[in-house]
Amino acid sequence: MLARALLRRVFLPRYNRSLSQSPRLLQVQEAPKLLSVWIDDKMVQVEPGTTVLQACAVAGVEIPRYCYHERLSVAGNCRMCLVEVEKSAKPIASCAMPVMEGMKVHPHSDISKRAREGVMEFLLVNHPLDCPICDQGGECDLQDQSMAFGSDRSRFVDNAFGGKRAVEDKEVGPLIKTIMTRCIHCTRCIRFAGEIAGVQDLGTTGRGGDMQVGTYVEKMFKSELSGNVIDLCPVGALTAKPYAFTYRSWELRRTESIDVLDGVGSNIVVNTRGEHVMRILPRLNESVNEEWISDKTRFAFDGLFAQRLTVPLARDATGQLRSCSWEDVLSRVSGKLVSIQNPANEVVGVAGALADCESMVCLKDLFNKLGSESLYSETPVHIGSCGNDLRSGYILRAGISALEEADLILLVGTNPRYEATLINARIRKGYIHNECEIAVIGPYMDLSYQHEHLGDDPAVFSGMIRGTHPFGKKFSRAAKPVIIVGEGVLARDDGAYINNQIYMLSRLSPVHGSDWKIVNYLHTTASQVGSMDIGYNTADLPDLSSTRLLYLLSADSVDVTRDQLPTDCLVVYQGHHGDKGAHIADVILPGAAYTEKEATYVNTEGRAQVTQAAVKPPGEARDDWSIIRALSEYAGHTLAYDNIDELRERMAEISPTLVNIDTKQDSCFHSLCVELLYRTSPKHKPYQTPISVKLNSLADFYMTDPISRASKTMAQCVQAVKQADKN
Amino acid sequence: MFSWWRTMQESGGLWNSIKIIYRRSDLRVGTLVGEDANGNKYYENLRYQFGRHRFVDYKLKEFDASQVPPEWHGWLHYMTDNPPTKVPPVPRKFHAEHQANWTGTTKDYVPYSTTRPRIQSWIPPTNKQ
Repeated sequence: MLARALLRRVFLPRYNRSLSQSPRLLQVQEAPKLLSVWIDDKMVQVEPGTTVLQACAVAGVEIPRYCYHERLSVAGNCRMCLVEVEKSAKPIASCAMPVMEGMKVHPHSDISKRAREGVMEFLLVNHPLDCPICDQGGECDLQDQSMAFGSDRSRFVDNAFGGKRAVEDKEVGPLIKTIMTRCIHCTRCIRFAGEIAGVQDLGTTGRGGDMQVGTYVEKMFKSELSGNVIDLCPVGALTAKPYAFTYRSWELRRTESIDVLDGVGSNIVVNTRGEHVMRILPRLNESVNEEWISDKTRFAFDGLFAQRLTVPLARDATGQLRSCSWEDVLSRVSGKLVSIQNPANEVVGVAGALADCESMVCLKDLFNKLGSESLYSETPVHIGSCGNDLRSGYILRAGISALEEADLILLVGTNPRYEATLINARIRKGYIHNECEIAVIGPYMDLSYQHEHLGDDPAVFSGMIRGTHPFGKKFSRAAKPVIIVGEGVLARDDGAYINNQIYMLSRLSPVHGSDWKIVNYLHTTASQVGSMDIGYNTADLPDLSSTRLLYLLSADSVDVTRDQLPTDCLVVYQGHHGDKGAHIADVILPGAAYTEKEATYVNTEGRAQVTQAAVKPPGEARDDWSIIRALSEYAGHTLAYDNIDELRERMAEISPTLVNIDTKQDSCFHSLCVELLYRTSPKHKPYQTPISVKLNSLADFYMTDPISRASKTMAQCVQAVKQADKN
Repeated sequence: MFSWWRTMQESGGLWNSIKIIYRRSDLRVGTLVGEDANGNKYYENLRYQFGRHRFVDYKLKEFDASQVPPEWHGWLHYMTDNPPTKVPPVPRKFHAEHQANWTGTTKDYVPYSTTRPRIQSWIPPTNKQ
């Protein structure tokens, strides 16, 4: 047994080895021989295959560049990175040239400087002088580098405008504004679209001075990641259309925050001017979103300006919602709470997709004090008896960054391209660079990479486990297999059965039980993992016919109508948008959106991250946790924390993972979880209904929550995609 | 010098004089020249120094110089020697009704933004009942 385990360790690739193993095993892989390179007479040692530009970066010398980008393939066409190398007849493009032993590079020599000046001069000859009206102004690579590396005087004599190059603008959809005259042909956008977004829409036509970047025929750049080309563009050729001309980059205040519009928890920078969010940009986090964000994350923030709940509202005697004071609404809700005799059955709380951990903890503590345990998560998750008790049973255990190392990924009931865009970008990265194979169980889908479709029949697992299905064999041969289970399975009534089948399939793998985590769950909302950590019930909502108070905490997708509730039931909605939840509510408590509060969200891989307040909540709206804290005081069950630090201490008591910020904690007791599920899972056959996914088209992707549903930009995107699909 | 004793007597005794001084920080007596529509009384006493011999006794406790209507304003500020009781003002159709200055009260004017608010509130649907 021990020998087998050791053998397995030896044959496992490098990722799984840890330092705890014997030194004999560690010697298997020899360190590559380093090459010595002289940069400005300073020696650095780099690995073979490093480019001259990277070697210069190691030596602390930054070479100017336009086309080179760390995450894209090397194009070498801007020529800005020319440097002088000894024994080379001409300056070489450092981004494309690998280092050689003993290479002597002179990035600050006269030849290097003259080469850069020449390239800058050529670029500026055909670049318009419209910096004062350009949205890129102030954060433009061309501006910065012409100051730093360009010539100090101009030889441009065509002041009478005899013919600078001018290019017609392209129409590529409602998100990206193109001013193609400004394009310097770095082809970053083309490489991004082809390599990372997986959409082969962009390309070049013509040669030399006639070269143009575009979509060949006029069509929409249909990608869920399209906004990233705006950040990539080193000049102002591609800028954001929805908020064009609304700000100058130096006016903005930057707040580092977290996106909550899907379960990935992308890291963002909220740019504000005064009390308004002006734009949202990605923030580098190698473990989560690298440096990309989805279009919904980037552009849905204009939903924060529409349909907002800014004052407390309560229904009067005629049934009309009218604005009133905080005292009125809090005393009305607390009066109802106190009057209920049997809170265990008559008080029900539902936490929605955008609920933060702080307010969910507050609500749970308040309900527990009253004697009710009826707290539900909006999205039901049926994963069998290991339920929410073991964290490893419901999170993306492997972690987002580990997905790029997998060699076989099975997607069950999920379309990560639209449900978790950045996770799909990771899978695509593995597909491109690691030759990862992908298989799908669910409906036909366009995932932006090739994949094997195994049908949508839930009975397909039993064939794989028995060995009659060819995929079972392929799975058992894979060194790093990953199964990603999506909401299409978790929300099914027979989800527990399918979940157990998935675990049985995972046991076929030789790495089962090792450090490599095979079974992973993909949640599509920002609150889901947090609510399960806190202990919200993920079963279907119970019969509400005896409910006397229904508390909707940002719950807007919950399937409840007034007909299901008794007439004397008080429906309280706490949230920030007048969406579905607000329409059935009797009392509305205006809360803060994610840009307006400091709140914890746990992403689908179990990483707790904190948003920062970039602006104040509008009008009378307040921080969500403080509303529930105030309500508890009105109801005479005052919660034992007065500020956010004390509340965080309480959260740490519930689960230390909630306060372990920016860290993905390894989940333990997974074998227990598997065992529990195996022993208690139902033995009935799965239902005949095919496995579905939550979002399967780009048009569905844009509007999934109250913020994006209120966003005009997202509505335009849906229209544009539908129009483009029609043509 | 006008006798303070006579002033006090004509003001209605010691207690009334103290009340008047408390409210107005001043105690003066004179002949009543007239009364305006708001009940403010206008006095003249030539024994006082020139330029201080016309004065007004306001009707309201919370008094303010802008409570003097324009027809009395001219007489009170020595622009004319004809009080409106002697020469009534010629009515014009463009004359507006006099209003006191509302600054510092709940009726005062506050400048407001004429631009549309950036954040639009949700308007609850009206009840069909």
